[in-house]
Amino acid sequence: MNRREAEELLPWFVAGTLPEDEHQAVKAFVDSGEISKAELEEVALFAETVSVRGADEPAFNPALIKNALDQLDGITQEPPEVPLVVGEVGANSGARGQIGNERPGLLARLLDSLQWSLTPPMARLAIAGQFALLLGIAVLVATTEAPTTDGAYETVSGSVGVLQADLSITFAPGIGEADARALLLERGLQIVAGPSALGIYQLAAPATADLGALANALVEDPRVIFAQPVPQP
Amino acid sequence: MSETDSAEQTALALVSRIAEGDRRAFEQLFESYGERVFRYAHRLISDVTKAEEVTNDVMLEVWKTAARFEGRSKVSTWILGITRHLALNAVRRKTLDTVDVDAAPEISDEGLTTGAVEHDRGVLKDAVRDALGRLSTDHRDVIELTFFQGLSYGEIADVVGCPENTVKTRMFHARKQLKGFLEAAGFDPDAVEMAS
Repeated sequence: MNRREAEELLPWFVAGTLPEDEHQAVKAFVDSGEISKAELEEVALFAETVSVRGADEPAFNPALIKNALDQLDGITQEPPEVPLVVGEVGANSGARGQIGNERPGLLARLLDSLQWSLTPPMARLAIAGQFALLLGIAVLVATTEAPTTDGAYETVSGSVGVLQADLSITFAPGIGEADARALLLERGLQIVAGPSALGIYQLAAPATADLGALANALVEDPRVIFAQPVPQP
Repeated sequence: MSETDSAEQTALALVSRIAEGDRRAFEQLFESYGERVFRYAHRLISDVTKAEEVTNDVMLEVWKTAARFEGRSKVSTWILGITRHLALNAVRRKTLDTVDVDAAPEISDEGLTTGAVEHDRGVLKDAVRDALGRLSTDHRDVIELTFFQGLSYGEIADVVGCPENTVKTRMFHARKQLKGFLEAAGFDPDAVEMAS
């Protein structure tokens, strides 16, 4: 502590409200004369003047107490604030929840760190609004069920449900997408799955089709090198 | 346990009971703190009627919010914080004239004492009291909380809602201004014997 710091603390030294270490540090400056006796006495004069009631100062009116008591019935007492996390109670503290023995809860410490008490009311409102919006979105996302895709899927033209594979085929090498599509359209076939690692597609045939005859016809087609009905369960 | 600690524990117990709607506890707390609240309010407002209104409002606020007091500060700090808030609101309404800090005269750091006796101590105290009344609210506040309310600079920072260093700085300037006002009032700093 330097002299300037000691001088700043002198009023609280005189008032006797300094922590012991600071009290001793200031006292050392006083004892050494670095802070003069005159300076000390000047602060003592201020202290003495302020600490006693001046002759022209009004006295406290005890009737104020009765007046306030008469008003209590018209005032609703606010309930305690519920912290997000209950305060941590020290090992030597008294009953849980006793005023004065709890450390601040998580919410209180968070508000402290955000200097919430110093934030203007409108800014608090804006922050609270944003927080509520984010919370609402999070709840919405968490509670909204995803579209059910098990057992069906949607196309632009509507739901077609799950098509059953009736045929397995392999197109001839070099057959392009346009040729393959033309073949499927000619026969009223739709690709259900594939291609597999071996280039096999699973196709759905029209409900009235003779799968055996269809498979034979496809094998005869130069665009196909393999076709056979899928064994039905 | 020191006397101060004991008083604080008593005050805490009263606040707990007030939170449960105990009117007798409210009365006891008012008896203990009413004068301090009134004196503090009066010195901030300089108006007896308004100071009494503020005292009433402060204690009703204590009744209303006792359950929300978390015990993170001393009861006195909490109550004085409410007092300051309500008193300054009253001051704003009253548009109390205060001295511009920058315009206030400042004099050297030399002490006020070490001279022949020209004024007795009573006269000097009156002059100090007058000078206190001419300080800005913030500066008078720090002096008041230190010497009358007996708060540490940390507790004052809690009540006022500013950093501890700001409290120290305000006190430093308040002292300089007080000396300036005294000098301007004709009290020669070198001619006033302070010793009782």
